[in-house]
Order: sequence, then structure tokens, then C-alpha cells
Amino acid sequence: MKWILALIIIFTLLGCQPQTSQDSPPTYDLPIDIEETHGTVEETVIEPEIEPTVTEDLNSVAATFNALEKAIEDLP
Amino acid sequence: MHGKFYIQYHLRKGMKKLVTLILIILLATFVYAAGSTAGAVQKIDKDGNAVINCEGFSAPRNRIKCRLENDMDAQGNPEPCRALTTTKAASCSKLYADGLPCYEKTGKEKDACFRTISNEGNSAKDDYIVLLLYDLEEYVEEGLEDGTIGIGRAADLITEIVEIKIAVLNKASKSSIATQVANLRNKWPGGIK
Repeated sequence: MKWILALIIIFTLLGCQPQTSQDSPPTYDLPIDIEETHGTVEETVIEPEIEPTVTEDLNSVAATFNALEKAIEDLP
Repeated sequence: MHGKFYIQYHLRKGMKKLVTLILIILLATFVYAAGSTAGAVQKIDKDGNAVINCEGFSAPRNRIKCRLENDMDAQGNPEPCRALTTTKAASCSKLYADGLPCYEKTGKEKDACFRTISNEGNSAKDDYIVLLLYDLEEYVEEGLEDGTIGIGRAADLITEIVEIKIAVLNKASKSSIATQVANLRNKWPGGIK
């Protein structure tokens, strides 16, 4: 009996109490709140930059010249 | 007697000068005529008719003018391709051949056709510009056919367009190509729209 009491006292002092019952599992509080420290993760979708191809209406000399000037602008 | 010989002497001297002058004029006329038709070699076609061979001209403008006068539909080696290296010339000729059906289309269909053809090559942007320039050539030929412009003007415009194409295919600077196109646009005949 003395030994049992001595062990309980030692475990209590060490902060590691032996489980006496299976019905009450130990609970642990998280030391920090993840949401508070890191915030929420926002989902961002990065779309690739693709130049839209505009089909020119080549129905006149002026339209061809305009398309030509635009195409020259696009040259590296 | 002395005076008679003196006159005869000067007459003979004058005749010599006159003959020399006539010879010079004849020679000069011959040289001019030869120069203006240099290269215009006649060839015999498959039907046995004598036709002008425009390829005999050495200057691009003369060849272009000759083709406009004689065989507008001739499909020889395209002018800009002649100024390129062998490798480039082959792809240049292919671009011309592939692009021909596009000129039967109009509006957006024509542009879509140009883009499809040019995307098949390695230098899509350059090829697209060349196809657009060829479109301008077509307008010049139409202008010549309907009498809006004369043969000389048409030859000048097409020669200038060909020079721009050569600059594009030889990867000239963007600014110089832009300047050439701006110059062409400035001198474009108002009647060809």
C-alpha cells in the first residue's frame, strides 16, 4: 500500500498521472492557433498569358496595311 | 590655184568630221538600244511561238515589268527568294506555293489562311508579313489590269514590295521594315483601295 501511494505521489509530482480509467482519455490543448498565426490560405489560380489571335478582316488595301503594321510591331 | 586646194583641203577635213560625228551618233544609238532591251531574250514556247523570256533581264525591276507586260501569271522562282541563301530560298518558295490558295479567299478567311500557312514554318511572324505584302502585290496587279495605274508605276510598287520582303526574310531591323512600309503606304496610289 505504501508503495502504491509512493508511486502516485511520484507520478503526480512528475506531472504524468497514470490513467486510472479508460473512459476519460486525456485531452491536449493546441499551444497555438494556426489560423490566428498564419491566416487562411486563399486559393489563387494563375492562368498562362496567351495572346489572343485576332483575325483581321482583309477586305481592303487599308486593312492589309493595318495588319502589316500590327504584325511588324509584334516582331522581336 | 593655191586657194582651190585650200578649199578642197578644208572640205575633206570637214567631211571627215561629219562622217566621224555620224558614226558616233549611230554607235550611241546602238548602245542605248542594246541597253534598254538587255536581257530581253526571245524563247520559243511549246507551241513554237516566239515569246519574251523575262528571266533574261538582270535588274529585278526589268524582270517584274517584263512579267507584268507579258506573262502576269508566270510562276517562276519568286523574286524575293532569289536574294536569299539556298536553304532560306527553298522555304521561301514553299511559302509562296502554299500561300497561293489564300489569295482566292477574302476578309477574315484570307487572314486565317495566312496565319495557318505561316504557322507551319519556323519563322511564323516573318512569313505572315511576307504573305501580307504579297497581298498588296495582288492589289497592284488588279490596279494595272483595270487601268488605275500604268505599267511603270506598277513595276515600281512591286519592286518596292519585293525589297521589303527581302528585308523581312533577311531579318532586317523592325524599325527599318516599319519605315519601308510607311514609305510604301505614303506613295500608294489613291485609286487602288
